[in-house]
Amino acid sequence: VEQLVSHKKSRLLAQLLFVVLPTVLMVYFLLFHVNLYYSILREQHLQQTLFFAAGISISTLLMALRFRFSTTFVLLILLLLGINIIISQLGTGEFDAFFITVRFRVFASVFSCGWIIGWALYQKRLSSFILSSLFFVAGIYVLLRTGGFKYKQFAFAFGGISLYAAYLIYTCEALRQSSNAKISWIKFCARLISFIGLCCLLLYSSLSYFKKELEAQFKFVQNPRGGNNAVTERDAQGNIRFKDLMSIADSKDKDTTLVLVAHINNYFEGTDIPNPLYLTAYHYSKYDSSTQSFERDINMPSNDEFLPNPGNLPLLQTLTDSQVLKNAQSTQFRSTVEVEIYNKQLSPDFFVAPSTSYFIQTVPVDAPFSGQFNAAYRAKSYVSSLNSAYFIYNTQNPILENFQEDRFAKLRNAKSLNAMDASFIEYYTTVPSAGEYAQIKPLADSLAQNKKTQIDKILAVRDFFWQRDANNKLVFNYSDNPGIPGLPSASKLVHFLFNSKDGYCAHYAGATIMLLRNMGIPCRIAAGFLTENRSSGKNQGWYWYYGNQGHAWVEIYFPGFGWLDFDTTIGNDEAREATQADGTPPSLPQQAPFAITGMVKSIDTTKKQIEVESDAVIFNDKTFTKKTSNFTLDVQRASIKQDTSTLQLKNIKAGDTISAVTYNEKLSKESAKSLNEVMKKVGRPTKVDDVFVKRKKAINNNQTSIKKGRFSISKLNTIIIVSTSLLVLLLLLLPQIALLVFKYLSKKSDNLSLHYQLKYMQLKLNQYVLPYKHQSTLEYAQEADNLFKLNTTKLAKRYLQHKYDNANLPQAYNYLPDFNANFSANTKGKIKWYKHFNFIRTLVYLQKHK
Amino acid sequence: LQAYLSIRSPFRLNLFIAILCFALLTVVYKQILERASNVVPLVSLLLTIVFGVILFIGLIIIISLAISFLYFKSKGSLAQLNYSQDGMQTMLHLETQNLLNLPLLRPALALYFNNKQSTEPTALQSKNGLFVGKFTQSTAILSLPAAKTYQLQHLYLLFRDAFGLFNIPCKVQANTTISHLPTQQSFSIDINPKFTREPEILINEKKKVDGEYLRFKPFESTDDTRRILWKVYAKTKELMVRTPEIWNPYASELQCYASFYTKIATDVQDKHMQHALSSYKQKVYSIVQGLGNKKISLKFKSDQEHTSTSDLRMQITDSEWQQHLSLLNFASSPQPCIAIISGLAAADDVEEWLQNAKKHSLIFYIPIHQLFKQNIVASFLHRVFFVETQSIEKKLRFSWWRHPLRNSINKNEKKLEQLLIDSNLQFIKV
Repeated sequence: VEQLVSHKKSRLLAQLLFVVLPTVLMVYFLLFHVNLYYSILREQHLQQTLFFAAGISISTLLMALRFRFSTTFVLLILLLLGINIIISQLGTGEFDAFFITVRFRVFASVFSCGWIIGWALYQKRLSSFILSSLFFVAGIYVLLRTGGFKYKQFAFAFGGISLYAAYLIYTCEALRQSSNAKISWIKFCARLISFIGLCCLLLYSSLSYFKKELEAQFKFVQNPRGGNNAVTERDAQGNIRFKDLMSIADSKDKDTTLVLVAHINNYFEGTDIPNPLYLTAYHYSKYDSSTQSFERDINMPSNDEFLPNPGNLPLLQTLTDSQVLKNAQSTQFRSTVEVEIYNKQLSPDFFVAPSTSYFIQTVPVDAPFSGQFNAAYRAKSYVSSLNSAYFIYNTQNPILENFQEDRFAKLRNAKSLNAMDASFIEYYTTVPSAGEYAQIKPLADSLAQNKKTQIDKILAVRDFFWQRDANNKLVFNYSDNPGIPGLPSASKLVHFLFNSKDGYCAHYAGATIMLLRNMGIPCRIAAGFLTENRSSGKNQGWYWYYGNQGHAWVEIYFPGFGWLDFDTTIGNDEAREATQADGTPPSLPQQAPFAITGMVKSIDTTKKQIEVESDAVIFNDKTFTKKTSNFTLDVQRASIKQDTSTLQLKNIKAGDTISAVTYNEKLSKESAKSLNEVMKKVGRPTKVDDVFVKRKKAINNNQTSIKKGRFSISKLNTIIIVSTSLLVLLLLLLPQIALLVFKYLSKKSDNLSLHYQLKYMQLKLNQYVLPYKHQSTLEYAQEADNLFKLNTTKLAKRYLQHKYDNANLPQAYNYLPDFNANFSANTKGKIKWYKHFNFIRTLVYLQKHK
Repeated sequence: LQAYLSIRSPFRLNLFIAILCFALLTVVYKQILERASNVVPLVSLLLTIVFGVILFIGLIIIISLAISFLYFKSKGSLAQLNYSQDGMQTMLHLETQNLLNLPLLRPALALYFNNKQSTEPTALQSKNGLFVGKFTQSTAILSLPAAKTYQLQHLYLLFRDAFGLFNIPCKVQANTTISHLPTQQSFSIDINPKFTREPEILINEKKKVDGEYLRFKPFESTDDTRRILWKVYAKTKELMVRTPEIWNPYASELQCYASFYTKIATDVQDKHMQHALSSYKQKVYSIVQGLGNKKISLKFKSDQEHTSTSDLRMQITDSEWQQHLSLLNFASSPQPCIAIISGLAAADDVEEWLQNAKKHSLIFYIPIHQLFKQNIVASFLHRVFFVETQSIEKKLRFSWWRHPLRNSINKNEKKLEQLLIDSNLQFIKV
């Protein structure tokens, strides 16, 4: 043992200094941030790092003494298990025992990790690659997951992680390469430092080259402008989109940018007092207790989600879903509400409208607002007249109170649920009841006590959240940062209901769902925007939506009335008050009774007429797409637009896709059953008021610009793979290519024919038979002739004659066919296959004999 | 074959692992991408940066590797190659010409040996760490397995990049021989006291001690009175005697025969036999050296045909098992002598020789089977707790039980031992 230690002493020291120490530092960094994030680790990163360091050092030491890993590791595990059992039995209290055991397990696993890594780094040559990629992935994950960085720290940490990954591979390999000899410390350090310097330089330059983009992306991830709402998030372009699930997080961001503007054509009956409605995007109907989140479910019974993609819908195109209406199951107090949505920052794929929506038509944004809003659409929804954003606001306003009472009274007459489909009821009343969730049922029962109707039970839940303590202070409060319970596995909803009583919309909606479902009331969560009426005077009916209005609330099913919105969130005043003054609403789109989208066939500039082959024709919100037919459009009075600019008629070319609209009010009263009828009614030529030109080019440009913005690794990969494989192929084929080139040259030029013939022969001989070293031309030829009878000497002599005795020029003779025939006859079956591809020989030859 | 492949193949396992890691990272990245989370653009940007940097470093490394390799291939050569021996380790000193010392590149070195006798190439594990000191001059430590002369035909300079992805071999002609000499092992058996106990009988007796008178010394009572120098006394009145330079009485002409004769080992090129030979050489050398150190002058005689050198060490190094010169025919000293025989010696030959041997002859007996003996329990325990170094010796030891000659050699050795015990000559089992 002593001898072994002395033999490996310097190697061991180098391993500890250059590999183990940086690894411990890296692990310290990781543990530090993981500790901040996971409370179970109890912020003991220093101790954990020490344990890791102990594990890795002891393991390295034992490996240097040539101990076998498997045996020692098994012994270690047995030892740790033994200690674990002893500890769990020694603890005085149950809680103490649990706590100490958990802590011991954390340390034991950190120690064993160190053990394994120490072994791998010392003995396994390939471990450096695997470990460095693992550390890299873990580092990036920690960097992005745990947060709390400024950009500079982030860039620094990222640089450190990448540097470590490259360093580990390099150092392990360098140590291994010098393992047989004594390590020259100074030289070794110099080598490492120069490598680190190079890496630092490269990383620094690339980080500063990408700084702007990186900083922007980083800020977006760190603080996605409030996008990290309970139900919304920001995509890469900065647009708001809705998540597929609503998780109960520890905090939510504030976001005050304008997302969209809507005009909701809904007023209290007989008045011009606007009746705001919440805009719904998604429904979350399923609760997953493992992830503690409410999820969307495509298979929810009576699915009434209308999910068109406005971004893909051509301009003025309509889309109607009649299935949705069937599933909405509302028969009473139903009316159609029309909505116009002007989108500023909502992701173009998303559609929001009051529930239950069934119709969409994309509309152009008028010129003065086209810079402000990206897109616009009209939507129609069937809305119960009982539905209103005012429904359960706790308010002192007597009008609203009366209104609410009126509605409650109506709902008290709602039919009982007994007549409903059992599977429907079961689906919408499913809640977890095991474990911690068991506490909810008694609470729900106590709230529902003595309440007979469904609406009274709901009001009991509302009042539960509005309860005040002895000091007349609210028990439940609104908080953007309610925090999470101590143990990560504990239910955040239960924690909210019984302990913290601080939360935001996700908590309130989630808790309400828990309570209502426990009472047997079918309900689900709706995600969308809460609507606050801040309009006055002229702008009645216009609503402005900011990022922090992204909201979750509860929809409750009433037989006969369908799904009605209930918002139990309290105290979210911030979202209700506009952080900035609302702007001027865009002008409402004119009613377009006739719209056509199609390809231009011909243009008559004198008559100012366009012949169009229709793709889709819309007549009073009815779409005819089945047949194509030709329309002649009269564009005398029409304004022609492309994106935001105005065009002349001559700018339109055949093959362009255009959409044309008529605002003729007379037509809006008409209706048509078939395309022919439409053609009759609109007349020929049809007078149109607006023409929108869509050029394919423009679309392509947009797409590429989007693609350019995003770095695609897979593209980079393919480029690298293709180019390297091409290079390899080229290298492998180099011998054959060189031969072909010489052959071609020998045929082409008369003067140098002999020269190239000789080159060809030499190259071929060198490639397959006899490596050309430092012989003279003649010597080499003779040597070759000694091996095989090839008549190379003849050629060489002739060549030399030709070279040095220009006067006596015999006619050029082609020796090659002869040579080739001889060569193949002589070497048949002797040449191994790989010699054809031995490009190194060719390269050496070409380099020697330029 | 494995070593051969690892030298000749330009791609190393590292390359494949690196590609695998890269592919896995891409898969992980794609997984993130599919989740469409808001971190995707940042992650993809970060990965782009990292891959870009890695690609750049990789390119630098590969280009410098290619330049260095091509330059050496076209112009470089081996300027000097010599070796020295320190204990069991042989140091190979190399000096190269035109080896570009490019940053981030260190060529490693591999050696190919062709033994004189066997045509099978032995790749020696010396691929690492040659050019660590001065770049163009360096020293490789070789652990040569056997004590014999190796023919070094050519060696391979391996051009290996810093990440260890590629390994481009460059053949360099060497055409030298390396003699791996036996080294003296210290034996626990102290032969001298036993041996010198009866020197008068053992050696050709000389009653008078001859010597040249070179120095004076004062007369002491034990000195021979005849040696008093009266002339000196006449001058100085002191009794002086000359001190004789004494020949070591035991040092004259003691023949030492080392027999490499074998009848049992039919295939002397067999790995086990070669290993036995190497170990036998070590022991022979150690015995001869050990005896020499005790001021016993030995006349070493080996039964080899070609003994070109007079150097004892080289003589032993170049020895081989032989089958034509038996002990009887070769160790025929009229005086008592020392004979060294192996366990492979022919029993009948030894028996005859013992009958004819002079009294007081000393026999060193070196059995073979001990070499391959192993303590199963101890070696198993050792194996359980320690990583074994892959040595030829261990492999041979492991495969000894199925060696075709194992039984016959064991029988032969038992017979030899019995013969030695039965004879009244002194013998030492080493």
